Amino acid sequence: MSSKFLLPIIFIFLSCWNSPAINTSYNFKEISQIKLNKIIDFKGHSGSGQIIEDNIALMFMKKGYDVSSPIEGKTYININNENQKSVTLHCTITEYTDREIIVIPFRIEDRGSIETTITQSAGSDKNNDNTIATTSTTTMNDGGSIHESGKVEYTQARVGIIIKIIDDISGLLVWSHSYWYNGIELTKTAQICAKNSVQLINKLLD
Amino acid sequence: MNIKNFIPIILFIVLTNNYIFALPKNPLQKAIAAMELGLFNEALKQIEIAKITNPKNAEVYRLKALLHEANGDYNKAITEWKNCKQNTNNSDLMNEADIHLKNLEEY
Repeated sequence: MSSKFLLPIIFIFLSCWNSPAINTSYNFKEISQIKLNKIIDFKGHSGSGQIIEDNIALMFMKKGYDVSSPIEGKTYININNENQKSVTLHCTITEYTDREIIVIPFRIEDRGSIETTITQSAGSDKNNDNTIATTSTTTMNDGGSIHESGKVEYTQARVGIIIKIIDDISGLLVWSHSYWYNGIELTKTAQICAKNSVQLINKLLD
Repeated sequence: MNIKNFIPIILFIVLTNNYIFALPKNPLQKAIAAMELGLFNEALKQIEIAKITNPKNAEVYRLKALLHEANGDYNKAITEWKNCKQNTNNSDLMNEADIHLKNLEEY
């Protein structure tokens, strides 16, 4: 294939890399209810599924939707009772850590210093009426080290999720998106991750 | 001369040396130590000092942006993510900055 065709394909692929996948023939305006499936904990992080689930429900509430949980483990987001369609939201946690190691390379420059000390003293001789003044100057030059470099490490939080919306009647996957966020605090990072995902779903429903 | 008499002195020297060498030496190490203790403002002060010798280090701007985000200073975080983008060619870091900028600009 010539580069004439290859370049536009690469460009389209890269530009769509982080965008949600959407079934364009599906009418999202007809959705009456979103069922939020129980989210399974990320391996080694007990309770992480519940945290993401609660954050998603909270964000839907903040957007003004009615959220109900009549059965334990099932959350319903009511959109419009006059509509017919109902969908299920499946969420999978792909990353949930507060131990992601980040390395910062750095350099230190010690440019040295110059220290000058001036000492003045005055005194008179027994045989002489004149006062004798003595001044001495000491200068210390510290060349410093030209430069020193190294690296420091720190840990950060990172949360990643994949969301799928499936039509309850046809079983058709109508929308899917993966999202991640990082930060210093794990709880805040999980909240932002859920918030931004809900924001994208909200745009579909508006 | 009994060697036992010198044991406390040797122990004192070893422990003092360990303590001195365990302390962070440069501002970036001090910043990370402060950040891990939750002292985000102190960490930001140390990063400002570290920036003098690392003015083009994108990772320093990245850490500063994350600290501002944790503090809730979203406008300052936006500035630092933009600085981070300006000082890197790393596509992953640029993508990360874009994700943060998109989120922060909604506040």
